[in-house]
Amino acid sequence: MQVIGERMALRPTFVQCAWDKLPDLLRTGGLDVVVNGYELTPDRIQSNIATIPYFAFQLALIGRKDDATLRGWADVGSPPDGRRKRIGVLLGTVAEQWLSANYAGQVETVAYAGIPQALDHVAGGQLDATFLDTPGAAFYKGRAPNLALIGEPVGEGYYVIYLRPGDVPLRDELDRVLHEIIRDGTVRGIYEAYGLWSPVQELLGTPAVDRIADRMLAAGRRLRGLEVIRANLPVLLRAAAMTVILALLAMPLAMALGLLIALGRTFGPRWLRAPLTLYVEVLRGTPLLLQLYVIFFVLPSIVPLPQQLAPSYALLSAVVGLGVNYSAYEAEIYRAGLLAVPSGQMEAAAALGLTRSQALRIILVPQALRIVVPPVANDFIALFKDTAVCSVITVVELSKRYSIVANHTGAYLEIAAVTALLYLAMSWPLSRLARRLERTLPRGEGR
Amino acid sequence: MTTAPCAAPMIEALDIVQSYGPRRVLDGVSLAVQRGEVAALVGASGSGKSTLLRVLNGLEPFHSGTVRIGDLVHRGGGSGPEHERLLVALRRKAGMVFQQFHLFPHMSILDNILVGPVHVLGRPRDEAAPQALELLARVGLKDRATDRPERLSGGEQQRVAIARALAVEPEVMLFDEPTSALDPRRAAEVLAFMSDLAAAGQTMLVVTHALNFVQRVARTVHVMADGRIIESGPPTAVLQAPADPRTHGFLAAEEAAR
Repeated sequence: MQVIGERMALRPTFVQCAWDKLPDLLRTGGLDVVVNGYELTPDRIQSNIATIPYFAFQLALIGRKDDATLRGWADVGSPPDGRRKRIGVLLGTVAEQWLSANYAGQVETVAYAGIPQALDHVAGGQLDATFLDTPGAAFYKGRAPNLALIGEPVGEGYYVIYLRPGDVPLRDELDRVLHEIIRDGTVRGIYEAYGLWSPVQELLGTPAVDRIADRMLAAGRRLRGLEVIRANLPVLLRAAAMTVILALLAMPLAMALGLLIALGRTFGPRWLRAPLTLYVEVLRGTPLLLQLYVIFFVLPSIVPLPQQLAPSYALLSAVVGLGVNYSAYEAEIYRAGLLAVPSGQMEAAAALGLTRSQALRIILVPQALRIVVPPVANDFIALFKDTAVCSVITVVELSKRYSIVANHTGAYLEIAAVTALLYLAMSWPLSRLARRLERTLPRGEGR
Repeated sequence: MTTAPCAAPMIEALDIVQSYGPRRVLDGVSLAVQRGEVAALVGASGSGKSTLLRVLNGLEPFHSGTVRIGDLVHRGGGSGPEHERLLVALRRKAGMVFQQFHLFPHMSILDNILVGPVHVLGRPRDEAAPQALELLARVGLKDRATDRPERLSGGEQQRVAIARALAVEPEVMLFDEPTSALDPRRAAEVLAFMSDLAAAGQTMLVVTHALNFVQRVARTVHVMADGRIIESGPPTAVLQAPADPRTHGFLAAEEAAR
């Protein structure tokens, strides 16, 4: 970039942000050009314009050295042990598309936001392999000793610079400079200095490679409006199902844990109260995002994960993370509910000869639960939307799917509208149910 | 009213002391109620009569003294699981009726009555239900079995509360101003049932301001003032010719409030 800037007599300003959000920033004007190893894909040139390729690469499969069930590409198509391979890919990359074009239905792809996490999960056994471009593979090959290249690199791809559709003059200027530095050997010099030069780079700057974007554009047709919705509704609905599953598993966990904590803090022995207070404060005082990271990425590196848990560990982490996080909030609600039941109720229960635990179970808790229906229902709706945070630990739920589909198709408006409608369609019945419960449940002893 | 007095009293309180901060709520109270006796506890608000009742069935701790109900002995203080078990056993023997009823609002009337038999006595629900319905019939509310407490009038709720306490077959019944929250007509319904109960030989200790009821039903009346029992005796004597001037003052105030 420094070289290009010098030759154009411009000084580039580097902006650091989430890699997969770069196209969005380009679109909204936060950035003028996107350079950082962005691949030329049919989807991206629908909504942006691209320079000529400045780097050529292939795709490499990285697995474990000692994995006897994955020794080459043949094992990917028909695994010796009959189990579909789990392969981590970066979202929206040529690798992801190549895999779905060549091995559709034969492998399970898991979407990651970063290469290091995917490689760690290969090393740790949560994934069988990860599939990425050759520079990425070269850069990270020393990350874990048991990682190895599986089979030969395949496919081909190119890095290009993306710009907003209107910036044709800037694009033409960049193309001119890129041609210049490819032809005079500057590019080769830089790549060799970083160990990135390979024979496929020889084709850079040739007319065949330069016009590859035009050929992609001619081949693909933009889908818009109802068409793009119809084409993507099935995957969005599947992702919505994942959102529902997450919420329906996490909320009962949160409610059960929360009730136990509230009872412990209100009626438990004194020594138990301080640790429970700490539990609530820590979970309320740290971000859900961080808690999910710890459960998914940090915990397996401290405590070895049982092999049979590995394939579903992302979902498990999401449910446990959400459930435990919300249990802190539920605990506070239940505590308020327990204290809101008139004291005469516990006295009447005691006067009948009920033991303390009987009185709690039969008299106090059922009444407290009725009191807290509105705030708990409110939290259920909040948790329901917080399932979106789970996308950071590779769970593809509705908002992650929105982001994938919107990036692929460029139909941001249509896909956002459908996604919002799906969320509403799911949370609306919840609010209605909460309001009904509130009306029909007896309100407790009048005072 | 004639009932055969027993050798040992059914309820006995000996020299009970309880204070909140510097204020002595109970200042050495002693009291005995014989088996089958109906005793009334009267006195001005704040004289300590409700506290005494709550001490008797272990709802209220006390500093010193002894409470005996049947063969169970409760000395003030105490804690831990052993003490907890004693209190549960004590309350099991003494049924309690509160001024504010305290029915369980999340249960039907029938389920309110069944809480004791099922959870305290450990009887199967199916077996206990007919008896519970019989009790409801006795308090005149058999057709309200499936209703929620909130649908009942105050007087009806209080009759259910009495039935609920009776369902565990307590040896004594403690009433804490059972009609103070009711209008006169509802109060009369409740008092009528309490009279039936007394006639059936139930041992009762009643904290009340309903002096007509005391006059008609109680065998003994105890008058409390400033955390002490200042006068005890048959209602005819105590209510008509009080010996203590404070009793006289209390009766005059009650008369004026009517």
